[in-house]
Formats: sequence, C-alpha cells, structure tokens
Amino acid sequence: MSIRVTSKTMPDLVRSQLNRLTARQAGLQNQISTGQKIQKPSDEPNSFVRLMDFQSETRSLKQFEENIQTLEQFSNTNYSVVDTVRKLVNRAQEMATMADDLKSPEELGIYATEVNEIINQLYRLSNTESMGQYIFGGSVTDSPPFEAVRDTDGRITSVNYNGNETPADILIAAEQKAKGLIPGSNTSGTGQFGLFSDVRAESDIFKNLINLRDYLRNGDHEMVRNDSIKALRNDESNLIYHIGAIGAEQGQMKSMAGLINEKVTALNSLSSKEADADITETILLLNQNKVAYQAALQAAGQILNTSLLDYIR
Amino acid sequence: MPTLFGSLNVSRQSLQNMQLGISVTGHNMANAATEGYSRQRVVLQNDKQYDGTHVLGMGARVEEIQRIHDVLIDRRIQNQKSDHSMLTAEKDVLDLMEASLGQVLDRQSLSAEGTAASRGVGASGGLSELLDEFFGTLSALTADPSSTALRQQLMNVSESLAVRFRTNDAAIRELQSSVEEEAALEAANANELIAQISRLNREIASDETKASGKSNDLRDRRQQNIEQLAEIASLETTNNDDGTVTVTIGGVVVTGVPEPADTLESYVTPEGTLGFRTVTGQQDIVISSGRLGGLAHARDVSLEGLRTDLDSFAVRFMNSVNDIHRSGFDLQGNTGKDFFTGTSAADIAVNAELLDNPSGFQGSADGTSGNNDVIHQLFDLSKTRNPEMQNQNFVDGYADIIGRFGQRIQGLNTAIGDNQAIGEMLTEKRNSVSGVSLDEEMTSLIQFQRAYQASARVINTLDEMLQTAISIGV
Repeated sequence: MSIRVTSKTMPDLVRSQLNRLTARQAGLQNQISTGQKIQKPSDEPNSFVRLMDFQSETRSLKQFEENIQTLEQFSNTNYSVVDTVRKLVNRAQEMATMADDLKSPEELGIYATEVNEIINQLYRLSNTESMGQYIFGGSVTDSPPFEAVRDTDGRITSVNYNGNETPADILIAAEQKAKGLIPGSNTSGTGQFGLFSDVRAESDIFKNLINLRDYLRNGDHEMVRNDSIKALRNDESNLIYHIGAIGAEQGQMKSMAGLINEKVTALNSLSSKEADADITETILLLNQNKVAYQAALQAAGQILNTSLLDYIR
Repeated sequence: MPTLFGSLNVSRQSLQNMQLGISVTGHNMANAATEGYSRQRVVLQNDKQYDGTHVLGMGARVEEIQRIHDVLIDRRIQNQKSDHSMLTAEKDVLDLMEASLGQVLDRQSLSAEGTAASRGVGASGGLSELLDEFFGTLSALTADPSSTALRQQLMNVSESLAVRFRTNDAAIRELQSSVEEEAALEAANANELIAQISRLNREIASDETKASGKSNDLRDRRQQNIEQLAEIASLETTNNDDGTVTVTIGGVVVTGVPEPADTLESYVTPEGTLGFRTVTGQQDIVISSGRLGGLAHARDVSLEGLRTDLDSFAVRFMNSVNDIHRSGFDLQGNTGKDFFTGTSAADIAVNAELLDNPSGFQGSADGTSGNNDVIHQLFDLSKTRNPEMQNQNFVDGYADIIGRFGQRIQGLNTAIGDNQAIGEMLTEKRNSVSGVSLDEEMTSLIQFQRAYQASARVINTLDEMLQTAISIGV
C-alpha cells in the first residue's frame, strides 16, 4: 500500500526543500562575494588550521624580508665606509712609497700633515652612526666605540677601542642569522675580523698611520720603508677582505630575498587552493541551485493549488 | 420480521450517523493546517436483532470517534526533538563564541597587512595574528635592538596580545553566565508546560469519565505540550488507564493531576557546573538532552574546555616569556623584571613599568645596547616545541586549540543535519498516519452526504408504505 500523502505532507516537504535550497544559495552567494570557501574555523577545521599555519609563515617571511632590507642598509653603509677607509689608506700608502731619501724634510713634513688629516678623517669614520647605532662598536651601539688620545697640539697619538667583537645577529630566516655590523677591532683572534684592527690580519690602521705620520715628521724614511709600507699593506689586505665579505653578504641577502619571495608565492598558492572559492564553478553551482529553486517554487505553486475541490460542484 | 416503524428507526439512526460523519469530516477539514492535530474517524458498527426466526441487520451505530495516531512515532518524534534541541542549543552558544574569538580568515587583508613594522599599533584580529605580530616585532628588533620605536611597538603589540587573552577569557565567562540565565528561562518555560500537561490530564480524565470515547482534541494538545517539553528536557512518558499521562524527567515525576508534582529549576552547583533540581523536593535531576542538556554541555564541557585550554596556553606563554626576559638586561643595565604580570588569562598584562618606559625591555644578555641574544631567545619561542602542548610550538599550539573548537562546531553541524533529516522523515511518517487529507475528507463528505440522501429516501418510501397501510383501512 502506498504512503498516504496528506494536506500537510506537501507544504512541509516544499518548505523544507525551499529552506535547504535557500540556505545553499546563501552559502554560494557568500563564497562568491568573499572569494573564499573557508572563513571561520568551523567551516573546515583541518583546512583552517593549515591556513593559519600558512598565514603565520607568510607574516614571518615578510618580516624576514624587512630585516633583510635593514641588513642591506647596514651593508651599504658598511661598504661606503670601508671603501672610503681603503681609499684613505691607499693615499697613505702612496705617500709612504714616495717618502724616499730624495725628499726633503719639508716635503716629508707636508706628507705628515696630510697623513695626520687622514687619521682625523678615519677617526670620524670609525664612529659612524647608521639608524641611530654606532656601527663599528660590536654590540656596544649606544656610544662612540673609538676614543682618541691627543697630544697638546691636538694630534691623535693613539686610539682606544671601547666596543667589543660581537655585533648582533639579525634574523633573516627562522634558522638563519646574519651579521649586519662589523666590529671595529678584534684582538681576540676569534669571530668576525675587525675593520680598523685585527690580530689575525696583523692590521692596526690607526697605529700604523700614527707611526707613519711620526716617521715622516721625524724625517725617518728608513722606518717608513722598513715598517710602514709593510704594515699598511696588511691594513689594505684586511680592508680588501672586508670589501669581499660585504659583497658576499649582499649576494647572500639577494638570494635569501629571492627565496623568501618564492616561498611567499608558494604559500599564497597553497592558501588559495585551500581557501579560495573557484568562482566559475561556484557561479555554475549557484545557477544550478537557482534553477532548482525556481522549479521547486513552480511545482509547489501548481501542486498546492490543486485538490478535489477544483473538480466537484 | 421488522416492523415499518422499526425500519423507520433504523433510517433515523442512519441519518444521525451520517450527520455525525459530516460533522467529524468538517472538524478534520477545519484542522487540516492545525499543528499537532490528529485526524479523527467515525467508527460505525452494523447492528443486528433476532426476531425469533432470523438474525436481522438493524442498521449501524457509532462505535467511537477514533483519533488516528501511532504511539511509536510520537515517542520517536519526542526523542528526536530532544536531541535536535540539545544540538542546536549548544551550536548556537558555540557560534557566538566562535565569533567572539575573532579568528576569521580574510585573505584579502593578509596581502595588504604586510609586516610588523608597517602594521598599525594594536591591530585588531584574533590571537593568532597578534602572536605573529609579537614574534614579528621581536624579529624586527634583532636588527635594531636598541630602537625606541620598535621597543614601543613591541610593548603595544604585547599589550594587544594580553588584552586579547583577557577578552577571550571574559567572553567565555560572559557567555557561560548568559547560558545560566537562558537555562533559568528554559526551566520556567518547562514548568509552564508541566503545569499545562497536568491541567490537561485532569480535563481529559474528567471528559473520558463523563462521556464514552476519548477526548481526542485535548489528547492532541497534551501531546503537543509533551513534545514542546521534550525540546527543553529529555523525558519519559507513561500512559495511565484513566487517560492521564505521567511525565518523568531524569527519573523524577514532574506532572500530576491537576497540579504538577514538582517544578524544575537550574542552579550552579558547588563544583561550578550547571545543575538542575526540583524546587520543592530539591532533588537533583540529570538532563542529558533537550535545550537544557545542550546548554549544560555547551557551558560545562565545550566553553569550559576552551577556557581551560586558552588559560593554560596564556600561562605557559607568560611564564616562558618571563623566564627568558628576567635573565636579560635593559638599556640602563637593569635586570630581573618580568615582561608580563598576572597569573592567568583573566589578568595577564604587560608590566606597567615597561609600558611606561620601553627602554626597560631586557633584550640584552650582557648589558650592551646592541646585544640581542635575549631577543633571539624570545623569538625562538615561536618555534620551540613544548612537551606540554603535544610537542607543538606556541603558534601551532594555539592553532590546534582553534582547530579542535572548530571541529566541535562542525561536528554539531553535521549531527544537526543528520538529526533534521530524521526529523523530517518522522514528521512525514506522522503526517501520513495522522495528517488530514482534504481529498479523502471530500470523498468522505460525498459518501456521508449520499448515505444521508439514501436514508432520507428510505424514510420517504417507508412513509409512503405507512400511508398505503393506513389507506387500506379507510
């Protein structure tokens, strides 16, 4: 025996079907307007957790990208200072080479004055600040790392280093750090090479230039030849090493920035797969749903209006 | 042999029967759209008489006016309604909580959001975004440890994070308190229904004692009240011989005749959970489903579970940050300060001293301004796996809490969908048994009308016969 279909069966059925279709349409409409099929944790909890992870990693990578930009600023400043220091040391080397026994004491005196000026310039450069930090003090960034001792005529007779050999590590990836700063001096023989003096490189720019100036002032071209020329060569080698190191670091940063970009793109693509609605497919589904909805309304309109009452008089 | 007057009586009875039939049909048609109405049917029984020689048919009499319903379906609908209300009550509460957490995915804003340095201070969003900002600002600080601007930003982001912890905790507590109020209102509604069922019990028993047959319409109304009560609290019913029904909730009889045996109330137990008991007897009642069951589960299991998870998370995070921060030095060379103050998610805050003076942030391990070892250690918390959080780091640990909460709501959505399908099927089944079919009723109407006309014709014929019989004598 077939099921009894009563006067309430059809309206109840139509009501629940229309409700279901309307709810589905609202859901599809929401997906189209937001472009997302997942918006809150309960939509798809496992995917939502993955998306939180992707978002978190993306934010972290963008911060590393910004750190790399900061590093690049430090690196550019470092390069500019090191290059100027190298030019000044080269000029001092030229004078040391020219200060032979053919030069008169007056001529050597003029060289001494120029070397003294170079020392003053280098002293100013050794206390360079960038973004509010003294960049050659290691981790001592809030006070000038180099301190000059002067004679009664104001000439620098020695330069003391008040910084340390351990500049801060900057995060450029979750597990990767880079040195943004160069220590001004390293007398320990471990860690980063110092810029103005380093025990391993046998370099001490201030000491060597002060000696050169004093040899020139005293007309001691023998010491200039025997001591200063070799010492300044060591200083130059150390500076060339630093220029190379900065270049290598800049290359590493560029490649790291590229890697971050690739990772961000990949994460965006993964997030898109997980969360974004396929608009074409969603519109098609919405159209299908609309047709079903209209058909349900039409059918209900016809059936609900018909009963035996229409046919008996 | 029946007499002419006897036959006239049979037809008169038939006219009355058909009139009753038309009246019941009209009643059915009038209630075709009435919620909870069960169609009624006139049950006719043919009559007989022994005249000494033959057993003769003597027309028909009305046996009863029958209410068409299926007790089994009624019971199943009752249970389905209890389950459905329980699931939807919990889901409604958890939906509100989900919105309060603010953990919404907005892919459009992510690309525009950028990094910690470019984000606004105290940016809104869920805890996850704020945790990312906290670690992002630490990452930025590694490049410039003594920067006042970045230190200030770290303090602002950390305060936003602390506020979010506190807001989440407060939102859960507020919602738990709202659930208590809602449960009290639902208990009052249940008491009203219990009173109505008790009154109907008396009226039904009285009607059925006075007249033969059953008080069909009142039984329908009572069944409707029972189902409404089942939506509030799961119940059991027992049908009694006098037509009354005894309703028990959690094993305790609540209905009576004519007054309820007892009334319900909700209360917060000494353990802090939502409990139910009778008002007069002070007897504890276990309500496993219905809206009250759903509210209790939402409050004491789902919300309390989330609150405990978030609280443990906040305390772990606070202690981990403080342990590291205490070992560092600030820009003035001071050490030993806590970064966060408080003891739980309810009162976590950034140390007021640091908020006033961000240079007090202890990011250096050796007291030099450019040392960032402590900042690195703090940043490492973003990736260090914590054995107390299933070996997850803080970012994943929080995502896991959100994921589990989302799964609970998704589970409820699925269960509600399944339960609704069962409900629709049962309602359809009940409609097919108890529902009024206008086509059927129209057919019955014609049937009764024609039978009435036929009986009237018999009376006409008998009248003519009587006149003939009388004229024989004239």
